[in-house]
Amino acid sequence: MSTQIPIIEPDRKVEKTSLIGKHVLRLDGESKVTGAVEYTDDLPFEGYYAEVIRSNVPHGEIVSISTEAAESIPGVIAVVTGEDLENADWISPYVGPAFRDQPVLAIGKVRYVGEPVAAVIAERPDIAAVASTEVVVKCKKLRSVTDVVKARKEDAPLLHESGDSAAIFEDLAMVHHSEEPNVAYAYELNVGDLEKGFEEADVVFEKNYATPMVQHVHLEPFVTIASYNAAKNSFKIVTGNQTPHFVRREVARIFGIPSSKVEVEVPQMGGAFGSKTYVRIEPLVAALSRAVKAPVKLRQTSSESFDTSVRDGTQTRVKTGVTHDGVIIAQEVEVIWDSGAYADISPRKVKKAGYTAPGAYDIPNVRVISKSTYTNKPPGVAYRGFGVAQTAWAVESHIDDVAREIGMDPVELRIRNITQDGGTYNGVGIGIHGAPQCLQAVVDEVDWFGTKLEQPSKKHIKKGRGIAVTLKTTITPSTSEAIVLLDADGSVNVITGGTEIGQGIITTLAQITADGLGIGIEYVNVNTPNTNSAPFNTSTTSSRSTFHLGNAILGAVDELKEQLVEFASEDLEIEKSDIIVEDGFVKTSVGNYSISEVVASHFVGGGGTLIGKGYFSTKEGRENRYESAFWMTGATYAEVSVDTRTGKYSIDKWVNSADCGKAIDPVRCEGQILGAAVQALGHTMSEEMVFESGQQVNKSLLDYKVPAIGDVPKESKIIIVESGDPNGPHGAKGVGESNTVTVPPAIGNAIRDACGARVRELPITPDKVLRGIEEASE
Amino acid sequence: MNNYIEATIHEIEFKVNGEEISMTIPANLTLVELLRQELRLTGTTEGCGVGVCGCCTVLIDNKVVASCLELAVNIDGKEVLTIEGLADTYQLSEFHPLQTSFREYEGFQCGYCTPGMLISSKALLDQNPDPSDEDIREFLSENICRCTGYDSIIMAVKSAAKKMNA
Ligand code: FES
Ligand code: FES
Repeated sequence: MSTQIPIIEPDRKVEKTSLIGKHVLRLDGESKVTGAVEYTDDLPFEGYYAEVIRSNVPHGEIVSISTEAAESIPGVIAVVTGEDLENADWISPYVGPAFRDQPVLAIGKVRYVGEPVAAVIAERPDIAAVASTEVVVKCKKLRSVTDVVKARKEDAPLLHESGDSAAIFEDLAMVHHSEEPNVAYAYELNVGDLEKGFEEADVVFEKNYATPMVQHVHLEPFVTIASYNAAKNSFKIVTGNQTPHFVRREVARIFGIPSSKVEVEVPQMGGAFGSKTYVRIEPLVAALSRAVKAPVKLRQTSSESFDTSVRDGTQTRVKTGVTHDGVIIAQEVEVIWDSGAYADISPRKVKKAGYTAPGAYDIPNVRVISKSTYTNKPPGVAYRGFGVAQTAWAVESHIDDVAREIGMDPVELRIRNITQDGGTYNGVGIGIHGAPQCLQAVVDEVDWFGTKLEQPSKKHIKKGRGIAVTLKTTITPSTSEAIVLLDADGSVNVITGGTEIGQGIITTLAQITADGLGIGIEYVNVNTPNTNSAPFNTSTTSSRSTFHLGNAILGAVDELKEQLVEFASEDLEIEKSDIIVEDGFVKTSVGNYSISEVVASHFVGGGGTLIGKGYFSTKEGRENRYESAFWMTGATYAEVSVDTRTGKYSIDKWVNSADCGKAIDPVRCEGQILGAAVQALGHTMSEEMVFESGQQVNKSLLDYKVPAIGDVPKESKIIIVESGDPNGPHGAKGVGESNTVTVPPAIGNAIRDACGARVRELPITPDKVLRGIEEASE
Repeated sequence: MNNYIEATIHEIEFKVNGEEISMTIPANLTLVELLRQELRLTGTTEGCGVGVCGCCTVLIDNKVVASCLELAVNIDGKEVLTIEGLADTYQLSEFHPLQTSFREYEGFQCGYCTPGMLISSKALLDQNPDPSDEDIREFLSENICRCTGYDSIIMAVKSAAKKMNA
């Protein structure tokens, strides 16, 4: 063990370079600008191709599925139905992170138009596609319900008979279906004495707000490859998914095999925004591969994304009691979620978004009722903003409405009531969150109180301005682990379960690792996950990765450093207290050594690997930070011009602020802030899944319009707030979602300011603006 | 039965990124399928598949084309440029200045739109070496990016133009 470390002059030059807070080129950049990057669909594949047959009725009993015609087509290997899976002894075909309410293929019943009913497996994708049109599904129509109000009536058709928790996540252990018809889960929060609060208020104001179902529109559609190994009774799954460890667990469970027999690999993803979470098409493709005992690939079209995962619609009632001088003393928020046919993660959404439904304000008397409702529509899943985008649309529009009721500036009202850093929220301590700073930043930037917008000379064009602010939780509790392998040449491999969806986590983690060890970032390789080697990671969601994986990596780096100190102490025969690892060197009382020198000379046989492990878990509890491991906060200022003759409007200028805690890379943080804002611009102006008789009629990007380059406001300012999270790595926390939340109400408020039209239902279309103008003049 | 399965076979000759290729293909193979599946040029991505998102943009004889809508037979006798050939169109450095600038300004996140965005931007700079913000917005109006919010793309294209004009 005691190879002699070569002695180097003690005064060898040591330069300190911190990578934190600096822009570094993304490590995946070269591959992305040359086309070399590999998404799942780009990987070499040999095997069969699948095509899904979907329900064309919103609610029905499956009478028969005839597969013979499809099966007789040359090149078709098999057609698999839900009944096949139900009768198979190798699968228990129901999945879900909160309830196991979703069949891998519809069994007995279909619950929405677009639900997978059967799948064709063929030698070529074109054959699978043709054959799928030959599969005939006969359904006996059942009464369907697509509206959350009707769905909860006593005589409503029930989508599910019963539901108990899937008992996977601690925070969802208690979920159960409600007594109320079709309510998957009802969350309630009571703080203070609501009735007394309303009595004490000078003004009590109540209104309803709504958001439609929308879709993430990740440009890379769902693609999954599954390969069943019959000899080992094991699976390899390659998939674009934000939660590879959940996929592993769920696939292992449904096939009744240990997790170690399910290998999940996640290549780069072409966007996800929450859509590719928990399990989507993975159990189906795995089942198909198991059925034909061969590798199967399913690449869905972008239209099929609308059949697979959407953002819940909402109907929200907000009632607020306020004093004449602008103190909000009571608020009741009732939010009913249109969660579609399967609950997926909606119970957590109604709980977490329910908790922050009162917005960023410290209100002594609060009541929140938040109900996830089953309807005959595609399942609502996680989406950037995780429900807060919907509740904040209501509450941040409402705050402006309340301000007008009492004749106060809406920003003044916000400032008076916003929860302070280290203040209270929902009656308990909240710690550092940065919401007041985010609000102040946009207020100062535009000199809100000092300037008045000049109205254009054209009488029919009206200018207006609006602001919105948010406070959002992150998934709590959760766990992230990291392994950092230090090689004898001083380079490192970082292995985590964190997935690269475009947010840049590979590079951010490389920065934290390189900085921690004091080595150049070019010596760091961050791997995309494979669950066979990557330690557990709850999810790449909720903007949690920098915070959780960053902390896990810091732990792993510390472990590496401890080992380096031990080695140097052993090999040099000096006290550990005379050794520190700093700036890429092992500094000792007898000289400074490079990290590689210490590793290389400690091991023999041509190399050696030092293994650093880091674990990071957060707890949940309604005290201080435990409601959320950190808080996401941000604000938006929007300035609009409305053409009062047509209702058309443009956003002339916007300012978006968000609290990064500490920006590990400011350019990447700005990218998250603007990207989140522009996505929400779509939710504000155009995006809406339109249903007729339970069927979505705009299920294509031809009809479902997302923002193009010309839609983005030309005058834009991004403000990075750095409140320094006490628990974050270098003070950093997540920043990917705040402005998805604040943009729609800021624009809605600006339109109200410009022309008096208060649109309370997203998206804000010209016809709604015109109607609003009419109503305002009545 | 669908005619794709028994589609007529065509023989075509064309150039992709400077390389001459002749092959037989079914009549209804799309260009994006030819590139990705037959030639394994997977840099070109397919998003919407209906001509709206611009992910699959390539140049055919220097014209911007959505390869998901184009039949492969139509490139007979023509020259196609894909992302894999972009760097070679610029002799002065290893990468095309657009590639360098997109990296510097993070004109991408997930990268799925990036090949199409870069190819469209190249076509823009070919026609208009010094585009204004407005010119860029106009020209890239059919390239959707769901991640970046676009401003970094505008900055990257302008910086590339500057590099090329220097
Ligand atoms: S994939 Fe061709 S335009 Fe979208
Ligand atoms: S970078 Fe993801 S779509 Fe543009």
